[in-house]
Amino acid sequence: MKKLIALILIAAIALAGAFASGSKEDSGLEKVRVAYMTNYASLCSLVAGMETGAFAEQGIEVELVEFADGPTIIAAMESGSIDIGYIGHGAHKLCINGNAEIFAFSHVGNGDAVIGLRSHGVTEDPASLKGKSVGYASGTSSELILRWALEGVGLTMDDITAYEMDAAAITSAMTSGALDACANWSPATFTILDAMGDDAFILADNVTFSDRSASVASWIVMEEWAAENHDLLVRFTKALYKGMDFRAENIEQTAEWVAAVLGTSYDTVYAQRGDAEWLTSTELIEQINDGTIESLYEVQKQSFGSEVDPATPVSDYVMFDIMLEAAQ
Amino acid sequence: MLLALVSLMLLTSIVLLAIRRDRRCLLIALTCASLALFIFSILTYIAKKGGIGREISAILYGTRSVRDWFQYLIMTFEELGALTAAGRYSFPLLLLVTALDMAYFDFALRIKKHIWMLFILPLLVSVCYIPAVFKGLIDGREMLLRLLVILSSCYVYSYLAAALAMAAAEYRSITLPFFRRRFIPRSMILLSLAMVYALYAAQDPAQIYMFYRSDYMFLLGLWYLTPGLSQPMYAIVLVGSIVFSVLGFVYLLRYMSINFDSRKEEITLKRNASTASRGISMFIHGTKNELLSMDILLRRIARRYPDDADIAKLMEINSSLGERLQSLHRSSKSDCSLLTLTALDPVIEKAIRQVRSRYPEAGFEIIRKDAGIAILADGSILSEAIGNLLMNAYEAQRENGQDVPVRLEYGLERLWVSIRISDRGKGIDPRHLRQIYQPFYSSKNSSQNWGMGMYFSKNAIKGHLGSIRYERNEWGGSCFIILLPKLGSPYTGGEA
Repeated sequence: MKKLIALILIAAIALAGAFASGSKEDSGLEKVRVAYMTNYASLCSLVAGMETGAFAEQGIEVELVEFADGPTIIAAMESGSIDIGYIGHGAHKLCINGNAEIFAFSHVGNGDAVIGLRSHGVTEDPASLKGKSVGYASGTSSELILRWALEGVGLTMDDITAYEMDAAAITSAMTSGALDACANWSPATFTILDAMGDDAFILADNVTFSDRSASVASWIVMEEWAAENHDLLVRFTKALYKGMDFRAENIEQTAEWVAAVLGTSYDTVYAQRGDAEWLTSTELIEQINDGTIESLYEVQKQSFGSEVDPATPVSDYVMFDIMLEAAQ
Repeated sequence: MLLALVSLMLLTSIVLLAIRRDRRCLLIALTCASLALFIFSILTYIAKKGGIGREISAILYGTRSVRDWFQYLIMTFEELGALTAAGRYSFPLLLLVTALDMAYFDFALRIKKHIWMLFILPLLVSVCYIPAVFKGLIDGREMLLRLLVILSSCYVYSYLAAALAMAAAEYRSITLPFFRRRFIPRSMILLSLAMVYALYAAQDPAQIYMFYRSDYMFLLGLWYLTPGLSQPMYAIVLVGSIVFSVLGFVYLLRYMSINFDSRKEEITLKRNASTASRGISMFIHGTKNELLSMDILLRRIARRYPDDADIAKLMEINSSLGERLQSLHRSSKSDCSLLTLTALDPVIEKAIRQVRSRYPEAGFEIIRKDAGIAILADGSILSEAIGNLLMNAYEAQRENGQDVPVRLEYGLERLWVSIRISDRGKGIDPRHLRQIYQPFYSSKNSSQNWGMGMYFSKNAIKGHLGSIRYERNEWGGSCFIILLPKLGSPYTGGEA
């Protein structure tokens, strides 16, 4: 028995030592913990910046942390476990309400969609969703699309059997036929459409409601973190710009890198290249200067209705100064 | 690693339950199951929500494919939250009940009588954390939400602390090293379970289904996705848990195999005893006739030499031999003993007198740890059994040239009355340990020892619903521990 105890203790110490020494050695770079979502839109400029050495040039080492959705990223930033995060449209209402600050514009997306299954009695008319089982991820852009689609035919969430789930569970449930419809986002939407073939169809997406909202995606930080790390934030944005510019010229290469990070196939990632209109840094600065970006955020803010204070100025939560300083 | 650890704990506890099928193993298995439910639910939630780096992901799940499997489980957040709450609120209760089940000190025994009261708070909290009930209760009532979160945490921490305190108090109350050695692995299992549970114990499970409600989201912090510990600390806690649980379960399994071996030994002993039984009866019968004949002859000689003291002494020895043969006959012929309420002190004194009738110079260091101990016993048989052991101890010391008193300690120990007899002899060769209780076995090179003493003592103690075990003591000599059921203890025939 004593031998066994000794052996187990030795193994334990060795194991603990192995794990304890598992962290990277100090590279002399400033480490920034960045939250991303598992899609091309979230990762393309970031990974391009990392792989081309743009972040290292700026003295930054990026540590990627995967998240399922924007609200979770903001909550993680609140707790201090994440420094910088990427959010889609839905989580912007938290920024408007003062929970986080936007320091970089990412893109206007078209990755969210409400998908229905014909074999389950769902038709192109959103009214057919009445009484159906619909999966959705609360707080996300796709939920807004679902709500607006229902609103358009005089329905509310109470008129459907809504199941609050995560994107992965929604995908599994849809492909197994457990749900009649769902609100989800790219690349899960592609997976569902591929798996279900002609049975699945897009009932509504971001374009359907382009008159009501701009589905803007952004890079965010906490206000305190931004104040304490102004220089770092500017350098991070510069590297991000380089990533954006590389992506514009090298879509295939970027898709390959993103696929490697996500551990998925190149084709799946490459298929998502149409999820948004991708800007270069020059185009972005032009659109900031001519007020296009601010107006996009303004439209987006109005789309949240009573969930936010519509009087909140965009400049209160969007740091245009960082975007402009990084461009110099 | 966390997933593997919890799965291993659950599996081992199920194996243990399947083999032993007793209440204690059932409680350990239920405690492991509630921990598994808690951890698996949280791992599912984390897999679905993300928020952990690759290193932590490896620590929690092992491989990416395992994490993906959890991520794609079809579950709503309400279901996941309900399962997490069930695990969070059943574990502290089960841990405390298991710790109580292992405890035998007075306060623990008093609590056991009102154990149902321990279920009230967990039940109340569990009902409140049913998602529909929780949402209904806290709707627009922030104070109530805070109160619920604090109350549930108080329950968790107080029960955890009580369970660990119970185990510590029990450890302190045990004085026999043999019992301590058996208690440590069980408490290690409890400790390892508590360590794993503590990784996420502070988190409120309502976060899973209340996440997107802004009034909740920024009220109570984050959460399952934020590793409370750094990566090295995570590893140390998990490795610590692995060590404790492996040691605990290995020791319990080893103990089970010892029990199995001793049961096999018991069967062998029974078979040998049965074979010897006829011989013993013939032996006793023949010897008894010889003794009666000798008694007649001695009476005649005594009449012829009425003042001869040696003849009187011889008659006394003859009569004592007859009585002892009678005792041996009784104990070897019958499995039943007539047990009456008997004070232990006179039994011990009689056993010592028995030794001194043969070795008047024999010295004994008697340590009485508890006064006024009463047991159910056949006084004469028990004193004979104890006397045999004392006699052996004295002879072993004498043979080893040790002129010190034989130590005899007795007192209350958990469910038992323990009697320890320690000598400073050479101890028993481990190769002979299995044989010492066999009839007609003697390791002594003496024509005066027939090898019936230990056989008789074991049988006699067994007839008192007790047990006897051998250990080496700190002087390298022998220590025999007799355990007899404590009067009034809830004796179930199992081990304490």
